[in-house]
Amino acid sequence: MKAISTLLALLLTASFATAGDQPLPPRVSDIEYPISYWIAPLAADSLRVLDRDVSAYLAPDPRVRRIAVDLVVSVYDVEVPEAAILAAEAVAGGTPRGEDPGAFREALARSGGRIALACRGPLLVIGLTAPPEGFDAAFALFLRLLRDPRVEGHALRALKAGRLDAWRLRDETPGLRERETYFQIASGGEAGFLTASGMDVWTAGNLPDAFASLLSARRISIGVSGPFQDLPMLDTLDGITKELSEGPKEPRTPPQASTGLNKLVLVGTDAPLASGTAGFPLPPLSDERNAAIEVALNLLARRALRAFQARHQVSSGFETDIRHDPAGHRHALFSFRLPPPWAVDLVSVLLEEANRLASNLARDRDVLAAAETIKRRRRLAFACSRAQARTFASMHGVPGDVTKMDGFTAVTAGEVRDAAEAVLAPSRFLAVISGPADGIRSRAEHVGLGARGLDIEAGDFFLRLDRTK
Amino acid sequence: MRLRVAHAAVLLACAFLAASGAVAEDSDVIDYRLDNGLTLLVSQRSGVPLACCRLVYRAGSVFDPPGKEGLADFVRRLTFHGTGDLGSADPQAEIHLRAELKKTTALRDRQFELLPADMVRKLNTLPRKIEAARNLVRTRLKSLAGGNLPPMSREEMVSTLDFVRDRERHIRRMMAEIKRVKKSAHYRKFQVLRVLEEKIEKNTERLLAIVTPDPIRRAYRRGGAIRFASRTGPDATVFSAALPANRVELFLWVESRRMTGAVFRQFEEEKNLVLRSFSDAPPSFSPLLRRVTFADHPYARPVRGTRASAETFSPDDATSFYKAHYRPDRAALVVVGDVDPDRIYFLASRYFGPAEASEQVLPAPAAPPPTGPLHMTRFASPPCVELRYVLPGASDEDWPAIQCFARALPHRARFQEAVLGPGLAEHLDVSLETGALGSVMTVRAFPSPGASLFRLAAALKEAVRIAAILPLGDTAFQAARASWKAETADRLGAPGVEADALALGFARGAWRMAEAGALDGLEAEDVSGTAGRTVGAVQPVELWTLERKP
Repeated sequence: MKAISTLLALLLTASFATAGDQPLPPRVSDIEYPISYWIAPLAADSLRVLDRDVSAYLAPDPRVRRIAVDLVVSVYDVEVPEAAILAAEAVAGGTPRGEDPGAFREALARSGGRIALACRGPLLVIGLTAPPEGFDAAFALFLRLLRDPRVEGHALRALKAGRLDAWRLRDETPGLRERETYFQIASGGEAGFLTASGMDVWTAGNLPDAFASLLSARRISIGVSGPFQDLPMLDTLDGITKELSEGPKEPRTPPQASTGLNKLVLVGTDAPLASGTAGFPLPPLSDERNAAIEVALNLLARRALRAFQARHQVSSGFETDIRHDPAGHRHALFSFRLPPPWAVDLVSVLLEEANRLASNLARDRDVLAAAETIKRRRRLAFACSRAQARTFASMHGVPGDVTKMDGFTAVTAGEVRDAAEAVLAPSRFLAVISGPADGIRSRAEHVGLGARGLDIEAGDFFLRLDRTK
Repeated sequence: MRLRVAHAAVLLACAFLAASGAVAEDSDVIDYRLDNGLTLLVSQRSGVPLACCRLVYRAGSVFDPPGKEGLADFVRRLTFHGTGDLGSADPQAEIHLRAELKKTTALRDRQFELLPADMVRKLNTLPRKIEAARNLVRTRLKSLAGGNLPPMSREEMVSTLDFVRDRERHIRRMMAEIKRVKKSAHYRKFQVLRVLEEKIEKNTERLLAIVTPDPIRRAYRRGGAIRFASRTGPDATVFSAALPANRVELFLWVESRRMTGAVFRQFEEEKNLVLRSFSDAPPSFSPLLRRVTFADHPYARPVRGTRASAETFSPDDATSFYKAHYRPDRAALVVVGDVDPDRIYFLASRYFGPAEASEQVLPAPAAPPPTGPLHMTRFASPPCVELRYVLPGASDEDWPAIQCFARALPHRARFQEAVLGPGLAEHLDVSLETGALGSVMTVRAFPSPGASLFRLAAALKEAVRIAAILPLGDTAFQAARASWKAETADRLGAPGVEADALALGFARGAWRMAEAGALDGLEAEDVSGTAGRTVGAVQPVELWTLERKP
C-alpha cells in the first residue's frame, strides 16, 4: 500500500511539476477555468404536498450534520405587521405555556435543537435545526411551542426596547429615516408601517392569538434539509399541518409600490458627505416581465457605474439592491455615500443611462452577459441544501420564480427595452439625497437635472423632515 | 464526518504533501502551510455550486501605530486601487509619470515656500475676481440696452449705471494691484511656480488617462465573482469573495497581486473621502461603552480611527503598514465549497509561493487588563443591570473553559435561585463577545417590577462570583457543550458562514476553536478551575439602565 501511495504521489508530483512550469496568466482574462457542470435543481422535483395543501420542499442531504425545518410564513397581507413580527420574535425565543421554562430550554439544549427567527421582507422564517439523533425530541418541543406559546411580559418589553433601540440607531444616521419614508421602506420602522404606538397595542395576553392566526395553512410553506428519509419526514411534518388553522380564503395580492415619483428630494443635514438612495418602484413578483426587468436593472447598474467612475476617475460607486418590505412593495434601489457634487452626478448618470436603455436596443451580447451574471448570483440560493429548501419555500406560488434560471437567458434585447421603457422610466424615478443643501442644490441645477424632466422645483425639494417626531 | 479521509485522493495528497510540510488533520477542514508561512484552510463541500474564499491578514486595528488610529482600515481601502499591472493600461508609463509627478510636486512645494503667501494668494485669486466682475458689468450693461426685457425706470437706470461705474473702479484697482505685485522681486519665482503647476496638471491628466478606476472590483465583476467584500476589524482585515466553484483561480490571481504589489494610487483622494466621512455628531452609546470597558487598550479605539488621526496619514505610513502586515506568514487563505483541496493547494503554491515572508517580527499586542470596578448609568428602556467582565481572548488557552462557563451560567440552578428566586429579576441573559486578545462576558438581569436595582446588582455580582468558585454541575456542563455543538454545527453546510468562521478563527490565533469539537476535551473541573482564576478574580464594569419617569 505504502509503495503504491509513493508511486502515485510521484506521478502526481510529476504532473503538478509540469503544470507548475507554465507561466502564470499575465492578465485576468487569460485565466482558463475548468468547465463547470452544475445545473440548478428544479423546485418541482422537491415539492411534496402535505395535508391542507401545505407545500413542503425537501432537500435531503446526507453530507450535512443537522436537519433543518424552516416554516416560511407570508405576512404581506397582515393588517398589523407589528403583531406578526413581534409575535414571531417572541415565540422563537420563548417557551410553551404551562411548562417550566428552564426545563423546556434544557430539554431543547439536550436534544441539540436550536430555534431561530429571520425576517425576510414580507416573509418570516421560523427555523428549527437539530442533529438527526435528537431531531424527534427537538421537533416535539418545537411543536409544543408552536401550539401554545407563552409570551412573557419582560421578554416582550425587551423585544420592543430592542426594536426602539434599532430605530434610534437608524435615526442617528443622517437622512436615513427620510430616505426610508420616501421609498416606503416599511421594514425600517416608525417611518413606515411599524410604529412605537403600533407595538404598544400588543401585549403578552393578545400576542399568542395573533401568532395562532399567522400559522394558517394558506400562509405557510415548509423547507426541510439535512440527513433524513423522505417518508418518515413527511409523517413528521404532518404534525405541523394538524396545528394549522385554515386562514383567510383569498389572501390579497401583494400591492405594487407607489412612491412620490419623478422627483429629486433633498434633505438638508450637517453631514459632510451626501448619502442617497435612488430607484424605481417595481411591479409585484407575480409580474411576468420580471426576468426582463431584472436584466434591464443589471445593465443599468453596469453602465451607470462604468460611466460614473470614468467621469470622476474614482473607485467609489453605489450598491444595488431589490428591497422587498413586509407589505409586499418592491423597489430597485441604488444607494450611495459620496461627496455632494458626485452624488448629484450619480443621479444624473443613472437617469441618462435609464433613458438610453429605454430608447435604444441593448446589444444582444450585453443582454446575455447581464443574464449570465444574474444566473451566477442565483447560485447563492443554492449555496447549501438549507438555502435551497428555504428559497423554494419562499418562492412558492410565485410565477416569476427566481430559481428558474432559463427565464433570464431567454430575455431578448427588445424585451429589455420594453421593460426599461415601462419600469425604468424617468416618470417613475425617485432620488432622495441627504447632505449639505447648498452644494447639492447648486450642483443639481448645474447639471441640469430639472431640464431632463426631473421635478426638482417641487415643493418638497427643500423638504426638511422633523426628526424629533 | 470523514468524507475527505474516505476519499482516495486524500491518500495521494497526504503522500505528496508530506514532503511539502502539509499537516493532515483529523478534521473536515484540511490545513496546509506553504513554505513562506501562508496558512491554507480548505473545506470541501461537494454538491455546492460555489466556492467561498477569504484572505485574512492579522492586520486589524490593534496594530495601528500610536496616533495613527484607523490606518489598518485606510490601507485596506487603498489596496483597492490596484497593483502594478492591474489598474493601469501602461504600467511602465505610469511608473515614469508617478516619479515625474513626485519630483515636480516636491519642486513646486519648495518654490511655494520661497514666495510670500500674500503674493501667491493675490496672483491666484485676483484674475478670477476681475473676470467675474467684468461678467457682471456686461450683464448689467445688457439690461440697460433693453432687448426682450421690460423697460427700466429712470431710477433703476441711474442705480445700474452707478453700480457699473463702481465695479469698473474696483476692476481698475485690482488690475493695478496685479501690476504692482508683478514688479516685485519674487515675481520670477512665481512664474516658475506656475510652470510647475501646469506641468503637474498635465501629468496628472496623462496619468488619469492610463489608470483604470476601481480595478480590483472590476476584475472580480468581469471574472464572474458573485459577491465580494472586505472588512477591517480589531483583530484582522479580511478580503472575501464568492465565486462559481470552478473559478477560485480568479480569487488567487487578484489576491496574490494585492498581497505582493499593491499600488496606492489616488492616495489623497482616498484620504479626503475618509476625512469627509467623519461626522461631527456625538458618538452613539456602544463606542462609549467599549471605551469604558477596554480603557487604554487598542480594543477601545474605533476601527475607522478619528478625523484627527486620519489627518496625519501619509503615503509612507500606509506603505510601511502594508509592508509589515500584508505578508504570507501573517495571512490565511480560506476556501470552502465544491473544490478539490489538492488543486487549491497546487494553485495557492503557484500564486502565493513567490511571496516572501518577512524577517521583521511584530510585537504582539498585550491582552486588555481588567478595568473594573466601574459604574455607569444611562437612561433607556427597559431597566436592566449589566455586568461586563474583561476576560482572556480566543488566543488564550483558558478561552474554551471560559466559553463553556458563560454558556453554562444561565443553566445553573444555584445562580438562577440567587437572582430569580428572591423576585429580584424576571429574566437573565449571558453573552460572550470574543476577540483574539480579550473577551467580554456580559451578564444581564432585567429587574422584576418594583425591585431595587441596587439589591439586584449586588445579588447578581455575588451570584456570578459564587458560580465561578463552585464546581460546575454535570447538567449545566452538558447543556453548555450541547449548545456550542448546535451553534457550530449549524454553520457547517453554509459555506459563506463556515468560511467567515474559519477566517475569524485564524485571526484570533486558533481557527480550530471554530469547530464543533472545540470543547470536546474539556471536563467540568477544568471549567470550574479556570472560572475561579478568571471570572472569580475580576471586578466587572457595572452598567445600570434606568427608565426615565414620564
